[in-house]
Amino acid sequence: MDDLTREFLIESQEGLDRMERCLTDLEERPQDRELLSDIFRSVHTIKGTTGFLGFKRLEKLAHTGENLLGLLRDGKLVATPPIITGLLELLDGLRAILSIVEETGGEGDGEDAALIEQLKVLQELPGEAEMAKPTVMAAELARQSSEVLPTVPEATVAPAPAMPSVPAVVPTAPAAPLAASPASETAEVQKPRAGATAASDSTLRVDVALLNRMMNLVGELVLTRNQILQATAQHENLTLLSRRLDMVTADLRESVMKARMQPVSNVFSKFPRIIRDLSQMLHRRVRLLMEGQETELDKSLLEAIKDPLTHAVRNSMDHGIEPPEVRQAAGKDPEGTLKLRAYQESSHVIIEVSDDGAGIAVEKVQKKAIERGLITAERAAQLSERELLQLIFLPGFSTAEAVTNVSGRGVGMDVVRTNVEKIGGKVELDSKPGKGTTLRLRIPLTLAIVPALIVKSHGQSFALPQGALSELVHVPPERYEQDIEWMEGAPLYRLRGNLLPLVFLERMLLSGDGDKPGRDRDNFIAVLEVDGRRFGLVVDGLADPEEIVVKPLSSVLKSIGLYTGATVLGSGDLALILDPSSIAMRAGVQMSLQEEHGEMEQNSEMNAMRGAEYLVVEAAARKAAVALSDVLRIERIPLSRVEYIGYRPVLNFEGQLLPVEDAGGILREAAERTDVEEQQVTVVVCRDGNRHVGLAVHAVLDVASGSQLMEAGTERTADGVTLLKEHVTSVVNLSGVEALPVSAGYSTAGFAEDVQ
Amino acid sequence: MRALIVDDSRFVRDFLRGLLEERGIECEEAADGQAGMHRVHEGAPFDLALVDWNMPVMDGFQMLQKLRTEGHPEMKVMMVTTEAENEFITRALDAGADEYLMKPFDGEALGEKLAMLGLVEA
Repeated sequence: MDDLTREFLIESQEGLDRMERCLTDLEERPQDRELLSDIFRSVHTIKGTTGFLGFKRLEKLAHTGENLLGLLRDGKLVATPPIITGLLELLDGLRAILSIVEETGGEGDGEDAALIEQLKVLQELPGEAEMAKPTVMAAELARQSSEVLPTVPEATVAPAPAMPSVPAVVPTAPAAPLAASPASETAEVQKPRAGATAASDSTLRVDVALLNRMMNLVGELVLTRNQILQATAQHENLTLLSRRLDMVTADLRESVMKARMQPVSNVFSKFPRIIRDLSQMLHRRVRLLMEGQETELDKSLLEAIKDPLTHAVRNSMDHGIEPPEVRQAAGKDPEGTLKLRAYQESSHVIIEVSDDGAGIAVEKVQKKAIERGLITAERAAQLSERELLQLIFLPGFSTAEAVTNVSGRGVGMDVVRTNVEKIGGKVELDSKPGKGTTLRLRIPLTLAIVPALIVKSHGQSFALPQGALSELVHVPPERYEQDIEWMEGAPLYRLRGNLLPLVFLERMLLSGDGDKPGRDRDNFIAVLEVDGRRFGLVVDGLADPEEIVVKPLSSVLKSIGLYTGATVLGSGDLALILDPSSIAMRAGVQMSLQEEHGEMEQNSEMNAMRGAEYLVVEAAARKAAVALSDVLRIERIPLSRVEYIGYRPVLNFEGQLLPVEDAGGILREAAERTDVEEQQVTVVVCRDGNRHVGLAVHAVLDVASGSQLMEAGTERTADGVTLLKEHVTSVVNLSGVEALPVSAGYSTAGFAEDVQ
Repeated sequence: MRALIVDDSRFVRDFLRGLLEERGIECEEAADGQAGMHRVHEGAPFDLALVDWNMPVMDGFQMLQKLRTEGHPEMKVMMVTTEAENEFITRALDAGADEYLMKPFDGEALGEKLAMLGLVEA
């Protein structure tokens, strides 16, 4: 296929995607001339370009569509539901031919006579005969418009008795769209352009294969850098050079990755149509809200979440949102709301599908799971509501009363979860009976390079993706006997009062070291969360965290099932990447109690009042506490990583600039040290609402639990005080850390006096 | 010689550029009338503008009117249309267009029109 034909295909497909978006908008605003012009232009361009390539079949179909759209655009015809349906069929028809062109280079021998006839019939519908429909729609339009859109075509007032409530003072109302007045052309200009994007001159089309190759090369570069960084640790004169290589690699990596990024709107744009079709099929009335469409995600990840997301949306339509009568009877708006929301949270993109439907009936879930033999009745009785909800993700589970052709074929949520976890993501489910359900997909920004912790077992290195890792616990040999408990041969650890099942990596990999492996050595428990399970993986050594480049495994190793890939470490050694989910499955880890975790998320405020955990830090000889739930990471960093905006120290943390609070003068102190090696500072990275802040501290002392006494907070900088190990310690007020950018001045907040 | 191609279709822009560059004509592109006007104001003057009719933001007719209000007598304007827009051709010629070209066209048709404008030898 020559370049021009390929260009034609890409452009036509983009045009049709835009047309699809516009058509769904058109249902709500059938008189929107801007939309109609946009749709017209999409089809017009296809017709105009097919002529160059001699695609007669496409030209004929597009031509018929163009005629119909011309009448609509000029206001000679109103976009009634049958017409919109006809246009959607035109869209499908054009797409079908385009895909034949893509595959074969020719248009195929298909017949479009029926569709062309249908489109011609639609053109001939007398305007008056369709007046009954627009009345209903206009009333609907008026209802919506009076809430949100002040631009209501005045001409629709005539046939619609419900219209007088619409404010007639609106200055931009296009005059008489039914009579095609040129005056409306000027009115149009001020309206927001709906869904249309002009081909931007500043973008460049790049072959995905080339981009993938670039990504691979960048991966190699990252690996080489890692090795050089380690090698130069011994040769001081190379340090500067390697630091520069480090920076260049990081920048290059970021730019290549950005080139692979695409807005989630590419996937979201499919949903208006899907929801329209499902609403008709299932007799639901649904309003779709989409937020954060500009959020960007790696192209391959975007592809990977398309199906899970579609499934989630179908589920919401089928099982979530009730039929209008049921909603009305329950005192709800008969029109349900389905919301798609995307946003970035540090190195993840969160995509939420939420509905205001019936929610998930936990009793039903429980009953079904027992019926299907997924769980025993005794075990089910012990589960909390949150755990019962998780049962939905088990293979073979379906809550559908009857198997419909929309969802509920028994390949439901388990597939959603498997697919999302395959790309290193996580799925979370929240549901309130009668109020609705929210499904949250947590997707890493990119696949190819992931942060991982390097762990050791019997001298071998393994990479453990940090996504699943929640904390690390050190068990020195002298505490082995009392800390690790054995119940019927299964090791357990008591983590803050909760039992954590343990898996010894060596037991998993070797034939097994008899009972009680690793008795006389240091053990490290990596606490992992995956598939709603929580367990500890026991290893005998920890190395640095590293950014690893994931390389695919040969099929021989893949069939073992415990590894997701392999990587080359900075040391030059090879390491296999562990797959926490298969390890949990292989070891037969039961769903572990998540109460502690669940409640921490749900009632973090309540927890702040009652017993909560604090990180105790020291700065300038004062002790202070930070709520542990706010702490994201503790980093030991070279001073050179701290930059300044004006007087404000800032830290580049996972691509975000975060303000660093330096109440103890720690940065200044470090800067005065002559030895570059000693210019290191400890920064506690914390979450404060939507932003992150860093606290420079002298030392991290302890983790302790205590109850915060809000009233006792005397300092404006302190959130309150807490009683930790019988000492009163002040709690750092994170929101007191000044935001960036700052015009002038230095810190105002800080560590309050230790009032102990 | 320098030509400005104004069309919202990348396909048409590529196609035109190919034909014009074959004749040694240097090309610049814009995706709508407004972007086209920017090009006119920014760089070296153009000898020819090939302007599509139906475009977002600012259509070809609006761009033509703007161009001729500003003058640019040295720049020939060729409107590129489809049959659907043919009825507007007289309007465009009245508004100061020098020539028009109907889609779809080939190198020969374009060559004829360029010759009519005296930009290439017939």
